[in-house]
Amino acid sequence: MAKAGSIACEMVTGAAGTWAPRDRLQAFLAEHHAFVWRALRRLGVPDCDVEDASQQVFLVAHRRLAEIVPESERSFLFQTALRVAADWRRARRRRCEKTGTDLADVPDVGADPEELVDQQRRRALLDRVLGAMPLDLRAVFVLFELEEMTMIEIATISDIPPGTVASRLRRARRVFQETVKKLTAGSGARPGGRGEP
Amino acid sequence: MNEPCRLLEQGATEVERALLDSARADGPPDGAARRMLFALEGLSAGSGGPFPWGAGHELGHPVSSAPVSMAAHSLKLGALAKVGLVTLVGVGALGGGVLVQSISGHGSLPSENSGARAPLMQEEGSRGMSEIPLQREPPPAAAASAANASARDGSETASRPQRANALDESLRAEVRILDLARAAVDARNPAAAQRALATYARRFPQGHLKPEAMVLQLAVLVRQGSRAAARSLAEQLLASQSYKAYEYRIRSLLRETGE
Repeated sequence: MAKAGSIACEMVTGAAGTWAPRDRLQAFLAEHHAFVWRALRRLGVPDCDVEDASQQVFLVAHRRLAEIVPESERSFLFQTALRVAADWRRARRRRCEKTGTDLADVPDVGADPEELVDQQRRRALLDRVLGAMPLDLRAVFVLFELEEMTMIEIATISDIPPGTVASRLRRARRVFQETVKKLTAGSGARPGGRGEP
Repeated sequence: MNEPCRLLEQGATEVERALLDSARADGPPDGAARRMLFALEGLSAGSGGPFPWGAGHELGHPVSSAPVSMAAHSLKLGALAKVGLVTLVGVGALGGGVLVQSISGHGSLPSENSGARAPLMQEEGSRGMSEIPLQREPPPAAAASAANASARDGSETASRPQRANALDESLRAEVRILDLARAAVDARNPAAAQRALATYARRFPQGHLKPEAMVLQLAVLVRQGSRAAARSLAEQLLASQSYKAYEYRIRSLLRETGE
């Protein structure tokens, strides 16, 4: 399988690879495009940039398609998406340092649950909550809670031991719940029961 | 390993549930996968291999269409890279503006600020990448910037500010054209507005301000009295996530058509 470890280098160099045939590319896109798009969004790439970012992911995959072991496509794509999202966050941080704006500076969407009726607002708030997590926790949280992958799948995709997945998920949930609680504090929303993994 | 229950299955709070549900319903806008296919095909057909971004790319802000080879990096912009940089600066000074030839010699030249998304114009039935003229109006500031850059030694640090300036210039040019279109719309001169928008579409097929251009296009259709076309375009825009911020304006324009 093509390792995502060499992706950053490849993205810079345009290292040699073989362009995949159109039909394979088309099927590949049909199957995985939405997954990559959602992953990038939840990993912190904003709406306005997600098309460019997913293009970066698929550009790498396009070059390496012949080398990607079947059944490992998602793993490859997610690892690539993770790197692209990390690049984006770094680039954004640099821009924020220059402009003096805060990295977590997202529109204030209001904390009252009554105001969460609008889908867009909910997603903006979710971005804000997820933004409070380090990327490694965020990745596990997104894969488990939103993509509904199993712990084993996540361990495979992320190339980390299953125990690490479980501990990251616990920590991610704690951050998620605390951040939601903080954002809804004073609005009358009471966090209910929830279980730990 | 014991598989834990998901938050949604385990009595998450109302707010948590709302947030998690909102993400599950999220997805790419219509046509995004198709655009991606066109873009990737365009790249593979046009470039023969290299990536369209320079080493200092920033997501969503393609600052240069020139791919930079790892060889150039490893040589710390040695003799060969310097020649390339001089070429780059030279082209900029001659009015190439944003479009510069690749340091590594690969010949794909996407149109102005289009990044890898340039092939979208093929999808839209307009011109292919190869038909985009490389010579463009030299923006005065860009030419000045290129000249300043050429005055410096061909150091690595010269290329970044130059690219940033080129991007600034490109944005300014977009704003100028759209200002013209807006003024023409306000002056109830849809023909002039249409000309400005056509110029914009030709020069910036995937410009940073494309959503604004599309909304102005809608305004032009409304002013022209093309109600069916306006309605059709408005529906497309309203269906797209990218135009959420324009929803109020689009609906206002639609009301003008009597919808």
